[in-house]
Amino acid sequence: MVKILENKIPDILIALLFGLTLSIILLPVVLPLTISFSSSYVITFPPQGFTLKWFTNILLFKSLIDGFRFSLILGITASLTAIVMSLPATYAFYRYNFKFKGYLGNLLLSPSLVPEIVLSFLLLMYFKALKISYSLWLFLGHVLILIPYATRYIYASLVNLDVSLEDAAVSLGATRLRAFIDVIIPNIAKGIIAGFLLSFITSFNAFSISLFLSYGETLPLPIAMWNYLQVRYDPTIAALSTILVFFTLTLSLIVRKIIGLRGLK
Amino acid sequence: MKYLVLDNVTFHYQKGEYVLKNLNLSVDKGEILALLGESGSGKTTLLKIIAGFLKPKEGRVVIDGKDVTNLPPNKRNIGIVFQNYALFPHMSVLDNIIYGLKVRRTPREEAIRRAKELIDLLNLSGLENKRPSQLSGGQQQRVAIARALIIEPKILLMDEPMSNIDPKLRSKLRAEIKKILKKLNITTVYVTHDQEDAFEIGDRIAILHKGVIENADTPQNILRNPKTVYVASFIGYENIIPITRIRELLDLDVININEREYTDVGIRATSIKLSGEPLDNIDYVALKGRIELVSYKKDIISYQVHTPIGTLEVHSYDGSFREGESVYANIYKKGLVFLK
Repeated sequence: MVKILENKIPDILIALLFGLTLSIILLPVVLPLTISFSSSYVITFPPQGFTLKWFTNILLFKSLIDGFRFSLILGITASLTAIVMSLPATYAFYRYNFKFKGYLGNLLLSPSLVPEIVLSFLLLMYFKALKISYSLWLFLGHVLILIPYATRYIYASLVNLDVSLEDAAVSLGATRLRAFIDVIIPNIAKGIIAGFLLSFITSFNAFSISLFLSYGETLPLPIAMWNYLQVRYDPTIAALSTILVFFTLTLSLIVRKIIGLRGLK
Repeated sequence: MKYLVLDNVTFHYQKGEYVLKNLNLSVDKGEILALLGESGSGKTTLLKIIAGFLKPKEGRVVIDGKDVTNLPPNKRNIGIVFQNYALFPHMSVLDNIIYGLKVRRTPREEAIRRAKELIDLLNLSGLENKRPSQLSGGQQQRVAIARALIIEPKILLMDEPMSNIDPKLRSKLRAEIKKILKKLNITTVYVTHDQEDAFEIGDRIAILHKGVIENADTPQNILRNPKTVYVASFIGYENIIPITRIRELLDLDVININEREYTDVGIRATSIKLSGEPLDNIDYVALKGRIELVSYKKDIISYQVHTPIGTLEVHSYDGSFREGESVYANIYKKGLVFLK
């Protein structure tokens, strides 16, 4: 009896639980996306009919297209900057021991500990007080929230790297810089790419910081979408959301492919 | 000819806490010096100083007559075999081996030609295109040696190279490494905490303790005639007795020893003979004692004998003595080693 309980029932239970959990997680995401194929002119659920016109409709709205382009450029530049800034910092943490290393490490990761909305508000006050040019606000804010992501992934790939690799290259005649380029960079390339892609996704999706710090005519995509919804309530946004889900999903899959599941721990 | 000279080398991270203290050591051309020490003895620090990764606070490092104390590690031309080999994981075996030549801008064809010689010498043929992670520990070790040797280093440093090797294979590998090093006549400093390692591979052994070289000599001389109390106990002298306790019992004048220079006397457990009556032999000193404990080792019987100079450990093939029995412990005079 006990044997049966141990072997058979849990298998079925686990399968059921798994299916239930999966549907709880996925249904709220997937079901509303079906609205993007609905032929109704307002957002209703369940969707009615089938059409692809909402997808083509996206192209008619300059604010959405510009927003997409702007978010793309912002995401790429801010992520690259965050990566470039994180590299020397993570390297120092990997290579050297120094006073307050633990505290400094926490400090480096701290923007992710402050709620984004609070951080956004504080940055707004801060940039204003420092009289920093409006055009830089978004960029600086995004770099700041991305650094913890970039740092984490680069550090994760560095931490497994044998510290004596660089010494080995140096003993064979390479300068420190040459050793870093020849030996360290190729071994953390995956971490750098993963850090970049995840930073990019984070930047692309960042809402409150973009809302607080954007200025002028061109707005990042999340804000452009939000503004659109203020005026219109048709399935265009649902169509755009469908595209964005697949866009982010593809990037996430690339990251997984690069670093593998083990690298995500 | 002194090829590598460490002249009065001192190192500390914090003032007063010496890692190495006024250390003097020299290695001849083509010699294999085993640097033996427990963890914390300073051997890694010494290795880093020779390699140039650390700069001594005082003293000089001289290689082939040239003071290299201020030369950075990439200019010293010293080959290093790291403890975990530190092979470049993203490069093939061949690219690992020729890395030093690539940095020196040697044409690739020539680099490969030179690599082939080492690949043959180290029995690595067929592995050229493999990644380090696909190799066994022994193969990785040989790649690391080839990579260090291809730059024709003035000195080869080996840092605990056997620690990742199956203990059963170590002896065989040591013999192979020694043969290759001798063939190439390469001056080697072989750092290890393992006595077996040091005694098998070293032409000479330098025993490092608390930042000081306690003893540097051939393996035979160290075993037969350790210089200090630490070395004697480290290599397993069973009996180490303060000289003050032994002075009256042994006629030190006969052995002609300046007792002020020494603090202790070391006696191997095999240099003491047990007997019912004192041995009538001028080479022995007999002490009356009582057997406290008998224990059986693999192929020998170990007695703890209480004597006026303390409890002595005696090893014998004769198992006829019993606990509590009164005996004479006869110490072989020539087996006495005077220790500082």
